Amino acid sequence: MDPVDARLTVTVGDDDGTPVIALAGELDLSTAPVADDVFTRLPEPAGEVIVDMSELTFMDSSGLTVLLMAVNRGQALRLRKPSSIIRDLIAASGLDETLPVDS
Amino acid sequence: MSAVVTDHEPVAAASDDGPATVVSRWRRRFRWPHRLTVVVVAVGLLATVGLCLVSRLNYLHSERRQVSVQAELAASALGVGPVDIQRRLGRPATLAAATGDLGLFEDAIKASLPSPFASVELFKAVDGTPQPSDSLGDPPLLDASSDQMQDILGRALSSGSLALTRIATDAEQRFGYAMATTVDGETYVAYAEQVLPGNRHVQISASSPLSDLNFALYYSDTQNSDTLLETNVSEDDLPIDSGTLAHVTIPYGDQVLTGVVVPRKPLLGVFAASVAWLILGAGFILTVVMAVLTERLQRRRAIAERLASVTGELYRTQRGVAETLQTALLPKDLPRPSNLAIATRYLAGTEGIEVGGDWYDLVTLPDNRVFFTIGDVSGRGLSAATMMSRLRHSIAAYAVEGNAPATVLAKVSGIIDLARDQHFATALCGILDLGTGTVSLANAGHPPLVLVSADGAETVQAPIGPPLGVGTSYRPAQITLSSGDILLAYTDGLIERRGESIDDGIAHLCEATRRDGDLESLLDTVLATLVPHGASEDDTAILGLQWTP
Repeated sequence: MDPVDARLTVTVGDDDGTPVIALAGELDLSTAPVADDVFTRLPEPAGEVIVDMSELTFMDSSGLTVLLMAVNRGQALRLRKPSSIIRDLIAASGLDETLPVDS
Repeated sequence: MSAVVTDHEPVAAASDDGPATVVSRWRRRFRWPHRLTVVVVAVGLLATVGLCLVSRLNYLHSERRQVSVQAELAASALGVGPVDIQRRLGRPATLAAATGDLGLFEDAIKASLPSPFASVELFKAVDGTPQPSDSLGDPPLLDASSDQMQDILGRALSSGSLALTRIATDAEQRFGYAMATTVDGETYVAYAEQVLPGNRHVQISASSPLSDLNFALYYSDTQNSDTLLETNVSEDDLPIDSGTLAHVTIPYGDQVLTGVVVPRKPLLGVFAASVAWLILGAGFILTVVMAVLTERLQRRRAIAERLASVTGELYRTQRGVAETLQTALLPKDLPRPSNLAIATRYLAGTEGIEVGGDWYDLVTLPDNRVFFTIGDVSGRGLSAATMMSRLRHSIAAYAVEGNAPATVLAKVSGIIDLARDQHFATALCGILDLGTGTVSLANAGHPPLVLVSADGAETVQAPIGPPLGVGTSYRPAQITLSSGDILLAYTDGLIERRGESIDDGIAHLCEATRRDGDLESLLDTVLATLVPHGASEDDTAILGLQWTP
């Protein structure tokens, strides 16, 4: 089992017709390609996609890149339950409107 | 850079048949063995030789004992002879003495003729001198009147026990025995002769204790061809003087016989005799095998160590290249306007060996103003560095055109295509008026400026727009500096730590700053406090500006 995979687990699910991509673990430079792979395979544009971050313990600019590229392809992402640190990162990066939090 | 490490020299593919080529090829491949191998060989050889010696000595000792034992057995067997002779002569003598009937003596003697005795002579002592009295069997070899006869008769008379002599010619050999007895006051001496092998040669039966031995038996303790009694080897092989010898001494009558024995083949068996050589051979082979194995293992370990060190070298070299490139991409000489102190720092992150995308820049504008920028391209590597270079120059170009910071960011954001470039960037830029101290600035997703004034340090509040490449609308902010105020622009490597919020990092930065001392020492303090041991995962760039009107 690739150790990179073990640090990040990506699961694709469904919530009433809306695709849900759950990220669990750490999203950084080395694990970003795993997440990017899943996001690029979404049919484009899929409309709204919920990104479940309830199990995501860490994200840096590499993770932001993955999300932003998905937005750039036309996905409308809504973040569900990001940690407060990740929320601060998004706010500090001026991405509150680009990556809104699902309430 | 060639980093291939092998244990084999490349061999020419061309024809290579000459012995000189083979020798020179071997000479290129030859390496001195490692010290451990030499130790293994030394220990192996020493142990083998030692064991071999011990085994050999043990074998020789055992064989010597075996030879002695068998020699003693043979001697005992031979030593029975005189006892028998003594009985054959003595019993009749005692009988005659007891009955006073000499005829009984003669009758009893006849039982011993012709074997073991060939002849028996009876002498009567007359005035102490033995005179022939009777003769039984063949005539004796020894003449009755000879000195030798007189000598043995005299010994028999004086000792009262069995006397022995030997008569030897080239063709014949006999023992002569003499024993005295007294009958009716008269003293008689019986002289008997026993035939021995004339050619001195005997065959030994397989059941005899002498069967595995070569031996030579001699009359008296002088051992030469004259005194040789019998042997089972040819006379050309005498004397027996080499090999595991055993000497025996056999009392025979009033004389002694002496003998030498030596084994004709390994008494303890061929295997026992070869054990020492087997140990030597096996030990030698084992030592060679161990040495080859040790050498192989040492070489492999050496290769692994070399590989590891080469890998480490390559890593360090690549980091060096990355740092050199980074330095090349950053502005070398920032302008030095009066009224403005400028200080910069760049600290490469520990994560990976690729060049990063952090930058700072400062350009002078007309009317005593400067345009400053701090920026951070996401990710690492050549593509991030390339984008950083593009951004820096584009921002400088838009700035020099006279655009406001918010406009510059909007225009620059438009030249980034996230899908194509695969990176986004954060940036903060502003225009500082060196005459008035006003600063107008705009922020694209970047950590806020820290203002260090006489009252302390705090962040400069400004609306945070989206990163470059994501959005195109930015709102400006404005502040006014007091004389001596310091503006700190930095990238997130300075404040971002795993598990910690950015706000906490920014708070730490504010706590670490104070406006005593000069700008350079402030930056040093900040770095030392926030990035202890010079280790941050991410790159860190800092631009410090102090307005000194």
